[in-house]
Amino acid sequence: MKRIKIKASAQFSAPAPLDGLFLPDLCNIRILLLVIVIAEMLAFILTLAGASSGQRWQDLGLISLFVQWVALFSVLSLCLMRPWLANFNNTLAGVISFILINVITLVLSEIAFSYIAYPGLDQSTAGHIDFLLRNLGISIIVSLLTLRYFFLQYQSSKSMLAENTSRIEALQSRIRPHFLFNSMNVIASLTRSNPKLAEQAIVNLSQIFRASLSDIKKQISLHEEISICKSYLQIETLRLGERLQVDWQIESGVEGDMIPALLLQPLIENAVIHGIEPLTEGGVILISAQHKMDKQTLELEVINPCDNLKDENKSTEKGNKIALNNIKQRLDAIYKGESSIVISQKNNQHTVTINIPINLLVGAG
Amino acid sequence: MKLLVVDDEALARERLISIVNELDDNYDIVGEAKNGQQAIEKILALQPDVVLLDIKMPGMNGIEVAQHLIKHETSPAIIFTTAYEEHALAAFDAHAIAYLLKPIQSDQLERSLQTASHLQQGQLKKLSEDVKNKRQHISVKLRGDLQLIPITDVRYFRADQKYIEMRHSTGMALIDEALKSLEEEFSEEFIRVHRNAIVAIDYVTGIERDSLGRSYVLLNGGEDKLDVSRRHVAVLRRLLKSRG
Repeated sequence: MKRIKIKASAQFSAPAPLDGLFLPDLCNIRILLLVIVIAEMLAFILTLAGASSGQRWQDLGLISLFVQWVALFSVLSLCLMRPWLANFNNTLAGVISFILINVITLVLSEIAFSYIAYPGLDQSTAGHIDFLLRNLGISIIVSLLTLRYFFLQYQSSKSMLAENTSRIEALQSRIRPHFLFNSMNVIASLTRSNPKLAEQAIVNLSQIFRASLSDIKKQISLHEEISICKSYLQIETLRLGERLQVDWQIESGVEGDMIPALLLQPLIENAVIHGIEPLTEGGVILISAQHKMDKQTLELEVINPCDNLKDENKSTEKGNKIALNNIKQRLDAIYKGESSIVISQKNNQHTVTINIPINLLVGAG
Repeated sequence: MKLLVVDDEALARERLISIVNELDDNYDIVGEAKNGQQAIEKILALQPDVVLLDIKMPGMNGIEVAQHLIKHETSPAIIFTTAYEEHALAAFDAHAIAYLLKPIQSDQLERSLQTASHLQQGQLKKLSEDVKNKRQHISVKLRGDLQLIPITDVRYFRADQKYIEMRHSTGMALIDEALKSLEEEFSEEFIRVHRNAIVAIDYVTGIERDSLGRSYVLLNGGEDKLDVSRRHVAVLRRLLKSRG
């Protein structure tokens, strides 16, 4: 017979342990309770399916006793063994749990056979073996189902967790807490000293967040993108003062090109955070946009000074990469290999160059 | 109570000053600084009671400023300020170090000023480990003054009885630190060559062996020469080799 502790975790979602083991927390009292209920249901099924008639209540009593034994012993052992099982990968832990449950079934079957005089039971050697094998068979099937179920349950909760984490990251990359709080601080300061400038900063901030929160597949004209970038830079200039200098080199005739919204702005933000901010004296960010000779390609470039000597800390590097990867993925999705993004660093200058096909006709999404 | 405001952003300083001025008259802003170096100079010159210290600043950040100051006899109480520092904040809480979130709220500032107390070296050390802050300078006491030596100028640290001897581009200084913690903090830039010494990897130019079989590491083309103990020779050779 078998125990079915499993379903427990599904219905009563107990807190999933964080050790990476696929089994639910079997030491949890609620799960234990459910295991008992479910084991009892298995006992009912076995009783109903049994051939003997006339003494079903008696059968139910004995079968329940046995099933509960197996279920409780299995749960208890798995609960106690959890720290040890967590050392193995899930496949191995699964095999070990499977063997354990079936060994428990066999041992308990043997004890039951020897000590419980069950009326209809064949006491011959053949009957003995038959009893053990039947119990083992039921146990194998139920334990396989159970463990498989645990595993699926574990996988789905894991992927749900991963999905939630990536959603939060996506949201954060849009809201950019650093930028938000820095801007709020600037505005708080300006509301006292220069309300007009504060008002302007709020308007700029709204423009940036409106763009950030709009559909990422949206295409806008380079002109609009530049306007968003300028709003952004105005806010950062309030904060950084003279340390932040910007040199725009926009070729005439390119501003009507359509580009994915927020293609340029994150690059400029990176340039400010990783290039300008760490420099005591600040520096110049050079932003250029031009058509290449072939008249098929729009080239956007952002160049910022960088201080190689102190590579700041690794976390800023990481933030930098996230933004760049994000842009790369979007470009790949939109232009299917016809775009390129190149990052280079030399002579204390960090350069990001993007080439995309000129496209005047792709309408706003 | 004398206050010093340190922040690299002019507007942030301006706002702090105007908030403080609205509190009662006990508080007197004696100066402002816009980076770490300037902060140290002004603190030594003006002797404020409390420093409102921005964490994120170019060059030398607020945590490093505090690390240098704390060794000074007359170090002021420090309240850190920060706009958003995700992980760092938990560390500040954990070590009970005062900080204020920007935009700063007036009543919180007042409360912090009333309870401002001096940081303990242990607190700050743990904080700095938790947020993996790495100093960019080593501070040296010079006739009551505080001199800052960029870590990139340091060639080696050598333990000499009670003190650590620090050789840098323009001279030699004695500092009161532990070689072990220096080794941990600057594990990327320095390598151990002997029980009593770590050397700056960038300055290592070669290894030399004398007729008695003793090895020496040459720094900066032989300007400095230090004993290398046997068990560190192999690592050092590998390092030199990997650099070609």
